[in-house]
Amino acid sequence: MTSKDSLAVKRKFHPLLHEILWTARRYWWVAFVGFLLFGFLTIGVLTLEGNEPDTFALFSNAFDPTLIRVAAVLYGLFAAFCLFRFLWSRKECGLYLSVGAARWKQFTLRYLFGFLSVAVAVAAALLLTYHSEMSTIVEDCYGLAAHYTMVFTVSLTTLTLLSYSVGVLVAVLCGHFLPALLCGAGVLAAPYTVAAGIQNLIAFFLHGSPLGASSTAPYAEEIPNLLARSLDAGLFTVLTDDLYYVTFSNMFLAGSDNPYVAENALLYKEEHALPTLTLILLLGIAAALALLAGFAYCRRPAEHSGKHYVHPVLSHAAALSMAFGAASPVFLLKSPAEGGFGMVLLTALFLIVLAIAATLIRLLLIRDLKATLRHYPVLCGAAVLCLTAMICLGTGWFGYADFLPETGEVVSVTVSYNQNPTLQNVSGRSAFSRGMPKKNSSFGISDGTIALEFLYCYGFTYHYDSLPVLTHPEDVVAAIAIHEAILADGRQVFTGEMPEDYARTVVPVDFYISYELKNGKTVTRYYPYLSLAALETVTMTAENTYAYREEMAVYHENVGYTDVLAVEIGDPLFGTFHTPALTEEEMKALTAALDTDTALMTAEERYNGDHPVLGIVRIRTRQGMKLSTHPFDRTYETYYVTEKFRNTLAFLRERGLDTHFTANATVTELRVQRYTPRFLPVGGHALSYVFFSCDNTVQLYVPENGPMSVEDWMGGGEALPAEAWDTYLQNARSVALMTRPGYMVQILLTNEKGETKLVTRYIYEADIPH
Amino acid sequence: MIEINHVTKAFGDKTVLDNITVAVADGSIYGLVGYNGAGKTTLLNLIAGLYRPDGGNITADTENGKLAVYGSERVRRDLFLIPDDPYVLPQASLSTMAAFYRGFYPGFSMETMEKLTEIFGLDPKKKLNGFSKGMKRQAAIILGLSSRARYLLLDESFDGLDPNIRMTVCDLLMEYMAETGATIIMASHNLHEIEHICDTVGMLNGTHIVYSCEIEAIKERYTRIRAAFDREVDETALAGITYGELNACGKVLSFVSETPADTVEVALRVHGGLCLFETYPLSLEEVFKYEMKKGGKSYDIEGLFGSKA
Repeated sequence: MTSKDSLAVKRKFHPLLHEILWTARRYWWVAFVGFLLFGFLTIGVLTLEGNEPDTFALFSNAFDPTLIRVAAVLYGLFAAFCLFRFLWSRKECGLYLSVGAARWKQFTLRYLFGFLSVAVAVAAALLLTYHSEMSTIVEDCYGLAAHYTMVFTVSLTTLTLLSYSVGVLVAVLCGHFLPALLCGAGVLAAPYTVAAGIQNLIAFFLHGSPLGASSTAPYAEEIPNLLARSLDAGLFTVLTDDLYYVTFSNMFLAGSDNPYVAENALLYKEEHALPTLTLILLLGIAAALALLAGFAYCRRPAEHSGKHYVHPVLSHAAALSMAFGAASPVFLLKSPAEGGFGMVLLTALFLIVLAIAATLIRLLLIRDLKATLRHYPVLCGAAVLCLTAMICLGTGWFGYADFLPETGEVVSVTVSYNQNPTLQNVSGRSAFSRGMPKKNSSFGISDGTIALEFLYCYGFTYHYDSLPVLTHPEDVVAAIAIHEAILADGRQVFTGEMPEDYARTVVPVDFYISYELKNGKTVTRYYPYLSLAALETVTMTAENTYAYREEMAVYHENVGYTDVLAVEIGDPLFGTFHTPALTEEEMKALTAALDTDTALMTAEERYNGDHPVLGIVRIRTRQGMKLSTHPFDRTYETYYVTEKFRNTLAFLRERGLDTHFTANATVTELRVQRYTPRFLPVGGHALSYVFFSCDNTVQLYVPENGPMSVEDWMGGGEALPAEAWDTYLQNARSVALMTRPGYMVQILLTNEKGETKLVTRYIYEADIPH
Repeated sequence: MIEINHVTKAFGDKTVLDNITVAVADGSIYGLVGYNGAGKTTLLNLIAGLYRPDGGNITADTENGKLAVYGSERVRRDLFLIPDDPYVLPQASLSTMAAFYRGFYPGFSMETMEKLTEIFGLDPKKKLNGFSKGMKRQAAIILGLSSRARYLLLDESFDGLDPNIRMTVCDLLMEYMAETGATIIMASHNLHEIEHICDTVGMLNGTHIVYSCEIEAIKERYTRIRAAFDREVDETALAGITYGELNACGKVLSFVSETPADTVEVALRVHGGLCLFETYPLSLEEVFKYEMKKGGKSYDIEGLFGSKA
């Protein structure tokens, strides 16, 4: 042996270090690809879109986070497949598994290398983008922008790492690329599908097919299932649209005139703090998957490399996951407005369709169905399952979802539903989702153009209606008619023929209808959302049934008002309430008038916010007392009285109580000031308005027909001089972010009694048409 | 020493190896022969720790004592497998592969590699994917010998080598064993080389080891005997003798005897009429063919392609 050989023997030998260096040399490009990909997506795409300078990549409204989340999922799989694809080649697998390194060490090193590569690539790309774009943001915004960037980066990196762990697991379990791809898609899609499946199964067996009328129902809210709720809302929050979209839809940029509402950013900052627990849980899942993959790697029979599945028993699990993945697009299609399923399923759908297409192409090329089926039995089975599922759901479970009993078959019908009088946009988040502000009246600038809308908010008042059991033949017919209307409502949704404003007029009602049939069976159906049109049909029909009228007649005779504590009549604009001295009979009559008025109103009249509110009538009672048309157990009921409340207004006017409404408030003073942009330090909760300091005035047009039933939503309206705003704002628990000039409008209103009310509103200069 | 104890291996429903028991002594060259699909590669992969035995175990002596091969990082650092179809990393050259292996084999010698490269006339910087089949095998042998592993496993490594290189490889293997005390197990169809360099041979016939013993012992075990009698004889004269490939032509019997020649001669003399008794040693190839025929691996090709009209 030569001296050199001796040196070779004596050389410090560490196979682990060698493995690390070797892996780094061969796979450094995986991180580089990820860095380029995410860098391109964040900077390059938007640059190519040719937006104006106000295109901070991560914070522009033009930035669609859908693409980047799809990229995250795909990149995670890509990285995993690159690092572990050697397992799919028998020869290459033999090379690596025959050398003197323990399998668990090999796996750990390779996995961790990929893990770090992915994490660094994604985080570096996003953080570099943020850093490079800092100059486009006002300096005062850095903190907020950093927060958003951190949330986005950590969430997206976690998503990528989760996808990477899934990819490693399926690469180890599968013998070559196609099964791994399908299994990966299935595993990624499975949680959603499992959650939706569990929900639907429970609904199916408890209430009948949930895929009835309303296709826009977020599945997490269909069934009071804690697991499903936690899966959808908690576990996969990071994967929902809201986190990414709204966070970055409302940032202000230096020198920008984009008419965004700053307060949305503030509100969502509250809601979209870093979802630490969720992310930790996801990382925990990734770690669990890694451990499982490591265990499988150590046990992996090298002789099965190149086959479909390395561990034969796992082929069943893989087939199941692929079936889940194949079936999951059905839920996507049936739930187009639901963004919660996110791009994970869309990616899975894409991969599955790709795999099915590859199979079909192979079939076309080799023209041998038997050979195709022999090589891809699970894929073909998954495709068949998917088709079957789609046929099932497309036909409403072969007519199950459209089931309507014959009148003669029905013994009794039970109908119950929830009514929320506020108008809520259920198809996605909006500024209205926190409590529906309703347009009441507006101010315009001197040329008559509406430049400012004054908003006030209805309080949430849930009524849960449970009609009496319907047994009268005509009532049964009516109930079936209701059911039919709901089905028609849903069919319209599914076919996409709904009116354009459908999304605005969908309300959550949790509608249950249950038939007791003469054959002893009970059939129940559940519809979580209905359009206003359908709800109107339901309400009008239901409240005209014999049973309902009978109950109301008894109700009105027997209801006791002894527990009514007070009736208050108020002015929404001035926020003042007056407690008139009413006898019991008078309170009963007032309540009956309110009941009658609301009963006679259409659903749209009841829920649409286009009718000016004259005043508020508030009934205070002890809990549990039925006091309105809609039995409930709240301690008070608030009615926003409009001209539609004829009986109520007649009652009030008869007794002169309507004077407590501010019907004739006039503008006695109008102050407008123009503010320069200002940033306020980050605080706790956000106000919904941005404060201005102004230096000149403009003329505002006041509508002739008043009244201005405006309530300062935030309870402010302090009569502060303009100079005091800055000081006030320093101490306010508020965050505002704006970069563009606007006007503060202070309107001093005086009613006939001489009471005054200062109302403050804001107009962005960019919003004023010139 | 490598000990293969009652090893069984099946792939699906097919049992490839059934209750194989073999011991390979240290410092020996063990030849593994068998027909195509007999299980040679499977056995080598089991010995290399690539496959897990379905039954039994395979152990190897290491500095830490006798260890099971499968799952043992320590043992695999003493083992180097040269597969029948060597795999090279994409875009790798001989130097690259040497760098790869050097991390896993503590005794890997770059100097040895360089010398061997010169002997074989290969360019260590050239990408291996550009090599011919024979050159790839040479490269694999170079890497194996450079590893200085205690146990060297070669699977059909002579295939594709020209005669000159074959001789060189044979010489190198013997020199490697002599200098390092390594144990070499080689599977090959080239029985000539096996006979030339191996000390011990094991023959796989389907799922079993037919024999596993020294070359000389094999030769002693099988003898071709030609006996002439003074009258016509048939196989009845060979009662009590284990034989095969009998060719009875009148007064002459020609057969392969597994019974010792002395015993056969005595038996034939007892039978009577023996005029001539000659013995001829069998080559390993002849022994192989004999055993294959016994195992049913023979066929009649006469008339296979039809006669000309």
